[in-house]
Amino acid sequence: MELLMDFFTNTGFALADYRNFIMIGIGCIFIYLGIAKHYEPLLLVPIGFGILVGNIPVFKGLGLGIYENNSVLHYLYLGVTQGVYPPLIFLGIGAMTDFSTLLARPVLMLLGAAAQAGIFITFLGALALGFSPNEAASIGIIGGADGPTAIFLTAALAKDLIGPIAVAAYSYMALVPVIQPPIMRLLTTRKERLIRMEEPRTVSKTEKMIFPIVALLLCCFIAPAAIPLLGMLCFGNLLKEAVVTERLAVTARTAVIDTVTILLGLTVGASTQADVFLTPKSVLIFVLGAASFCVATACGLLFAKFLNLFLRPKINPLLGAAGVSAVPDSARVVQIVGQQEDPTNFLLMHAMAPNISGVIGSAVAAGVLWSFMM
Amino acid sequence: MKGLEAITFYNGWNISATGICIVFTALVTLSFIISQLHKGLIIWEKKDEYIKKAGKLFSRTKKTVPRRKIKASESFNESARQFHVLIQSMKDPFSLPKLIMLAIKIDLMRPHSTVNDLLAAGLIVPDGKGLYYWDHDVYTTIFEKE
Repeated sequence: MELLMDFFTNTGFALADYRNFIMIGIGCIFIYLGIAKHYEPLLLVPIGFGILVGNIPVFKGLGLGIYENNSVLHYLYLGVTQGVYPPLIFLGIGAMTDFSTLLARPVLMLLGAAAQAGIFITFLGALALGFSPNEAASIGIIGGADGPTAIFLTAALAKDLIGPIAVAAYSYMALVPVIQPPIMRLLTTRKERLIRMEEPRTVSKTEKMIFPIVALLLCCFIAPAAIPLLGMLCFGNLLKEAVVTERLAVTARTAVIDTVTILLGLTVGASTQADVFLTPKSVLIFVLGAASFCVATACGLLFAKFLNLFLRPKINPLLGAAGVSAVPDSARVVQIVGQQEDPTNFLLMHAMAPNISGVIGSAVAAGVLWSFMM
Repeated sequence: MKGLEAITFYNGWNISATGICIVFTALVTLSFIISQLHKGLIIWEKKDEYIKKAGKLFSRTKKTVPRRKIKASESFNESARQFHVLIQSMKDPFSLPKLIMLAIKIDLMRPHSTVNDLLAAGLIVPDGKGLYYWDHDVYTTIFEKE
């Protein structure tokens, strides 16, 4: 009987408190949103499952928890804390991305730059709420709507906040179709939403091959701290465009990115152990993250309207919302909102330009913040 | 520390302003470069055409250099024909000493003086890099007049 009681005290039922059940509930919601609602299933399902794994209470000292030095999860989590996974994800993104629309209409790149203002405005907000500069920078980057970038910067500046920041970043990325449309409708008129975009010019293969090299050299000479992310993004894209390296490009955009996404999602989810995650700080991070995302969207939209004061023909200001780098969700949202006004207006292709430049912009912003905080 | 005091204390205003400026500078410069990229590539693809055009312009400039009038005698024309045949056997542009040596080898009359006349008539033209080429246009003009 005593043996049985001993065993019982070591089970999850005896060790759990209410916070574990809250987190398990959140994990289940993530899995539900991913599977049933199709909100970023490739991210939310691994993260949701990771939350379940991380919140099963375990006996400390057995080497099971993610924060115990000798556990398997801890070794997998090193990829997050040492900033290994985000650049590998960028490699895959680069190998998937077609920069044609960006090359055809470079002015749309400015929308991606404008949306990054949200990062710096939220940085100020976080400082004002009492976060340290390193923490504030990590929170601000959520506005970039780029999970890997947020994790990369947080791993460098505020390791303790990786869990809440990663979960916030990926949650808001998944909630792009919910968060952005009201802001888009609020800041644009019907007439503006009806603007049609010109057909982009045809882009040559040589241009596409030169672009990643030029982008890497220029951006990294300006902000060298962006090398790990932009270097891999541009390398992946060169592999894709060079054609002769197609085999490597295929591996980068399938096997590599899928493996890393699984490991990253699972370990980030598992890092949200109730005792570490359910704190007032996390709540504030979620609030600031949402604010950052909304401000970034608004900045992109307003800058597009500002550009229209000078541009002929005008651009559809909805494209500004795609300046946040949630690829390709925010571009898809632009397409959906545009088509609600005019079902024959196709904005997706055009929205990919600010969307991709948002990825470059948020990587540069992360590099800049990192170098400022060092 | 909280509020505006915290922002000022941690240099937040400067960091934000500089950060936004750097991100904008990077992306504006990149967008400017890629907007010019295809123009640069067009020039690169048509480089041979442009080089030819530039070459023509260059040779025209050479022709405008005032030339000493050479009396088109029967003997000068004969020498010009002989040197023309000789130069055809050489690669363009050619070396003048080599041409004179070849002329001596095949026993052409007064090679130094003839080369001097051909230079003066603009039939042999310096390429500006120490070598010379035969100006077919001038040659054709002279012999058309005949």
